[in-house]
Amino acid sequence: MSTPLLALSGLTKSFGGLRAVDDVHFTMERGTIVSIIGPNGAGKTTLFNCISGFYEPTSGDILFEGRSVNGLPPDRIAHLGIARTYQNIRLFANMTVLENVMLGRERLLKTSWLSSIVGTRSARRETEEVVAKSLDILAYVGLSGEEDRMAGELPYGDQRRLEIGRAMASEPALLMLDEPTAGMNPSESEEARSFFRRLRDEKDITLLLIEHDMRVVMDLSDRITVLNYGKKIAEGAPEDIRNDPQVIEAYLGSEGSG
Amino acid sequence: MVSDSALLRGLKFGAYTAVAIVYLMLAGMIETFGERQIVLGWINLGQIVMFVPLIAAGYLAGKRFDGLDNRMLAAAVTGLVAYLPAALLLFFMDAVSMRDVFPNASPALIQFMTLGVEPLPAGAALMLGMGAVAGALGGLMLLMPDDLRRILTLGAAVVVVAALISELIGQVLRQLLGGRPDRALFSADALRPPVAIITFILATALAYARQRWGSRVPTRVPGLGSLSSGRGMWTLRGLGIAVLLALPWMLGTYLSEVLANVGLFMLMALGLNIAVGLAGLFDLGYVTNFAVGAYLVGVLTSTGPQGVGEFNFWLIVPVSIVCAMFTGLLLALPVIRMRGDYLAIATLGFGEMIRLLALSDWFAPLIGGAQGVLFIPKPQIGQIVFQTPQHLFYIILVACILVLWVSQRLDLSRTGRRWMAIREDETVANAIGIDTTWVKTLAFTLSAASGGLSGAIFAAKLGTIFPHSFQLLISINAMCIIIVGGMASLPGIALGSIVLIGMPELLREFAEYRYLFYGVLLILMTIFRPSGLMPAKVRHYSAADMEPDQTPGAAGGPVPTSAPT
Repeated sequence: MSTPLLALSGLTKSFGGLRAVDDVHFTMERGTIVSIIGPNGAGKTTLFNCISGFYEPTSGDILFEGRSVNGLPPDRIAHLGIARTYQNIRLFANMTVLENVMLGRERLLKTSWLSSIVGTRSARRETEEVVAKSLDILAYVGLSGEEDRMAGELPYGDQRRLEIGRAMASEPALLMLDEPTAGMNPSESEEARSFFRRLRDEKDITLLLIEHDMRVVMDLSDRITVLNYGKKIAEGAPEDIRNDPQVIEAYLGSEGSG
Repeated sequence: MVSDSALLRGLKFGAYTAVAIVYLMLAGMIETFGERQIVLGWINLGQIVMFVPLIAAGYLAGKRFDGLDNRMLAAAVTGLVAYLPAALLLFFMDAVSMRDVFPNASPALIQFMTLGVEPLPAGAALMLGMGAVAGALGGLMLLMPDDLRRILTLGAAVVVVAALISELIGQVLRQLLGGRPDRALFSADALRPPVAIITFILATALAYARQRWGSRVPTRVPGLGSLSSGRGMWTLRGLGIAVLLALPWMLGTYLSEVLANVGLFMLMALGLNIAVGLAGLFDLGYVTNFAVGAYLVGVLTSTGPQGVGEFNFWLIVPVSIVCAMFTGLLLALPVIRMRGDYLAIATLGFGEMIRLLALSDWFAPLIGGAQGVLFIPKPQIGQIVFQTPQHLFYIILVACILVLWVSQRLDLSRTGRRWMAIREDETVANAIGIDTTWVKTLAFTLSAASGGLSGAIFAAKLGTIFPHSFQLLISINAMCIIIVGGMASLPGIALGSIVLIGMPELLREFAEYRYLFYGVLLILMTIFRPSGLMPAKVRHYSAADMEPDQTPGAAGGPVPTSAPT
């Protein structure tokens, strides 16, 4: 078996006495779509924050493509090919749509500040290339023609698209989406689902989602991991999870089992 | 229908204005400004300062309401109430001498406020009447169409500014035409009434023409490239530089001194802008870099007792730039992880430290302590000595263009995008792969380099430097220029330096109230124009930036627009 793309072993993150993520073991294979679900406060976003380097885990290890990324700063982790979006969209609101996507490509750029001042040929070429690639990405996420608008001026749905576009721009191996369909109506959500599949199939991006909408989760995921109070309580294919008594209890309370 | 709320709003706005008016009276501004005529025999600056706030307050008070009567009521009440405390104050001043506490509360002030009408009750009544009229005038302005109001306000502003800079205009005219052509326009620094009328008509006509026809000319022509990339822009730039080169000789020695000061502060602000404007790092210790540059040039070129080596100025400039960069880097290390206010406070400390170090006995043998460094020679190239402000202006000009060029190149580049991303959201910037520590350090260091450069020029320009030349106010001044002009906006910073440094020097009446003027301006700016007089333009990565034929997505792609210049 090949090395899993992402592997967490015994990952724990405590804030004071609270164990937000508690001894989580987890692996995901390249080319899959995996969802993390769980009630509010289950530690899903904390898990994301550990993987993207915002938090240093209290104990345990995070392996990306077989190497430990534990304790690396966020920019180093981004350079390895992990990109993410945020639960409450975090765009560079006062920059243009195009600039947002161009910034997403940061990890692939090489131009130094000195060559920018001098205006070397390679600096110019890189800018041209970034602009072209970013425009392609904007077309891919359906934002053609919006490139010169301020990101903050876009309607909510387009901001979500742009945030995914910015994450895509770095050509990541792993894309982590934090509640990507929040606030969408059923037809938008349907559209988003087929978009995520295309991301995996056409762009070869592995997706890790935090999602609340069970329809999305069941429809899209190859595997599902369930967290509750920081602990992994179940893991498996959608149909296993749907029927797991522990999951039902976590979601519905003890009444469900009692 | 007249409503109570109109009355209340009038009372409220009137009360605010009243506080300002009483303050202006007791601070002595009204009287001082009253000596400066704007239009000869018609109006002086004191009257403008007295009436404009009332008109503005009346306008704002009336704005809320729809009906004519409500508007006028609110506006007139505002004006009346605004003068009420001032009128009462006049009675009080008349009865009790307040001059021990407020030296400006003089009979002359009473006379000024009442237009010399005796006895006092009659004068005070007149004053209140004028207040109501001025407020109502503001209300009347609401009746005008927006365009008309804007044009008239602009016309009036142009007349006032023309009178305020009469010395500048006069000097330029004398140099260009010879003789005393300015006497036809001005008398005792005030515009002659016919000239004022013509100026007003010309300004309004121009504004009207611009509104009527100017906006029809499309500024964005897709596919045609833009002015900034074409030959037109270079012609414009060439013209601008030609004017700048000729400027010192048109302005004469005194005004060139002002010009050189404006240039020096502009240079400082441009440098600080790299940290504050482009990267969003609130650095209040900018004076540190300035001091390092100045003391290096001072000590290493001075022919006086503190001089070491008597090196050539041009040799020391690069040295002071490098040393300022190094100090900038050194100071950045401990504070680079701080954000926002914390960074401002920490750097504020550095600014004070450098001044105290310069003043200390510890360094006194080397840099003179409170005695400072004297006998710093003027820069020299071959036989040319940069002796006068006119000469020094050219050095400052070259330095400004250099920093301007570097800033613009960086702003439009990957580095500029990274800085702006950090300014917007540092956490996300870090998460998309930007090494925020390094990029912030870079901004600090480059900003420090410009600070060092301006310090070096400052030392050579003054010829002597003292620790008290390096006060916190230097940093604050540079910061104000950026805020008033427009964060990260290079033309804004040029304008900001002219408004904040040039204007107060031209208006000797202002000198005493310079920081009051700064304070008021900053408050007004943050309320009405938070992004500055000339906000930074949006960056477009299109024709302006690249070879036209390789513009990605030229069809339906980004619309080529003028790049920030």
